Formats: sequence, C-alpha cells, structure tokens
Amino acid sequence: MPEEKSNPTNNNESEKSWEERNPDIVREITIDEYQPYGTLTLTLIYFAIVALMWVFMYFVEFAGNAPSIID
Amino acid sequence: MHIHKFEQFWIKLSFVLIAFFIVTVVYGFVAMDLKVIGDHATIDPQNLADTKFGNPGVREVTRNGQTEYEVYVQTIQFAFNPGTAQPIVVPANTRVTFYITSPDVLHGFDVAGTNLNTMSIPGQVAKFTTIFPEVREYGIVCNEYCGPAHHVMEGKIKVVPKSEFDKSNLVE
Ligand SMILES: [Cu+2]
Repeated sequence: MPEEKSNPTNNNESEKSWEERNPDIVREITIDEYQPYGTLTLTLIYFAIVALMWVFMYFVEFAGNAPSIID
Repeated sequence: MHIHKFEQFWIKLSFVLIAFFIVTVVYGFVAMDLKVIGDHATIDPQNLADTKFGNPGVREVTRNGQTEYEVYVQTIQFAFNPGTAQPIVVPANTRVTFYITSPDVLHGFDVAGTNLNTMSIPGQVAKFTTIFPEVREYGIVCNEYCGPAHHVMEGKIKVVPKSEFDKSNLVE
C-alpha cells in the first residue's frame, strides 16, 4: 500500500494533487477493481466462528443445562 | 454514496446474523419451551412472619391430583433459610416450586450447574417450578453482592429418591 508522503495541511504541498505528491504510484484502480478476497475470507471465518459459538452457547450450554425452569 | 460490493456483502451478512440470533431465541422460547423467571407477586419485606415465608421450608401440596412440593426460602445476610443451616430436601422426578424472597437486601439464588437461577429482591417473590431428574446434591450460591460475607453465602439442595423422601420434615 503506498504511503502518503506529505501531510495535506502542509501549505506549500497542499496545492499539489495526491498523485503529484505520490509519483511512484504505477496504476490507479477504481474502488470496485479493488477486491480484498483475503479480508473477505477472514470475515467469513469470523462469522462462522461467531455463529458456531452462539449455537454451542445457546443450545448446549444454556438449553442443555437441565434441570431448567419448567413453569 | 458508493459502498464496495464486499462491504455491502458483509453488512448484509451482519443483519442475517442478527436475524439468526433472534430466530434461535424465539425458537427456544416457542418450540423448545424454555422459561425464565417472571414477576409473580409482591410482598411486604417487613412482615414476612405473617406469610408462608414466616415458616420457610418444604410444603406438600396437591395440584391436579398430583403430589407436588412448594419450597419457601428466605435469603438473608448471609444464608439461605432453609438451605444453609440444613439442606433443602426434595424428591426426584417430582414437580417442585420454589418461592424466594428477601427481608433485607438483594441476593441471588443460583443452583450451581443448572438453569435454576433467580434474583431475590426485597418486596418481590420469585417463583419457579422444576423437576430434579437425578438423585444428587446441588449447591446454592448467592450471585448478587449482598454485603461483606457475600462470598460465603451458600446452601444445599439434596435430591432424594421419591421412595426415601422423609415427610416428617415438611412444614405446615
Ligand atoms: Cu446474599
């Protein structure tokens, strides 16, 4: 990931565009061309863990913890 | 505002997850018939002596032609009465209804390792019914901070076989 080389509040530099301040950028892509599949995979793994832990906590640890209140 | 399609996807997934939580909780309380403590009754905590809590213990009652038991428990700083000085003795495989209240401060009544757990609030009667399926002892712990000796406030429930249940210890 390219690093911002200057602070945009810096007066003499603030006139320049982001590209001018970062001349080593080779290719600019649109937001939809950026496809973070790794992040997506991690997110799906986290969701699966949360869902599984919920099922375990609710159905096994809570509902399966007899004797329970029946009335 | 343009939101990246991956981001849209996991925002939607979050809502699906929330819907899943709600569906499982509703399923538990509708299809699996899980119960929680409701609000049963209020009581004057200064005058428990005039109520069944004045003579706490296990009572035998007949409901729908069945023999059941009612247990009146006072939670006091720092004991369960009954429960601490002598265990609460109830028969297995029988409906037992607990009535719990406090004359002094907020306490908890948690039958350790089970789903039987309620607050004991001065002025409120907590009521729950259960059936103990096995013969064994359960510990009762106070799980609401009630004062300097809160950590030693504990009691016992002794579940005995129906045939060995001694009715001479019942209260009137
Ligand atoms: Cu207590």
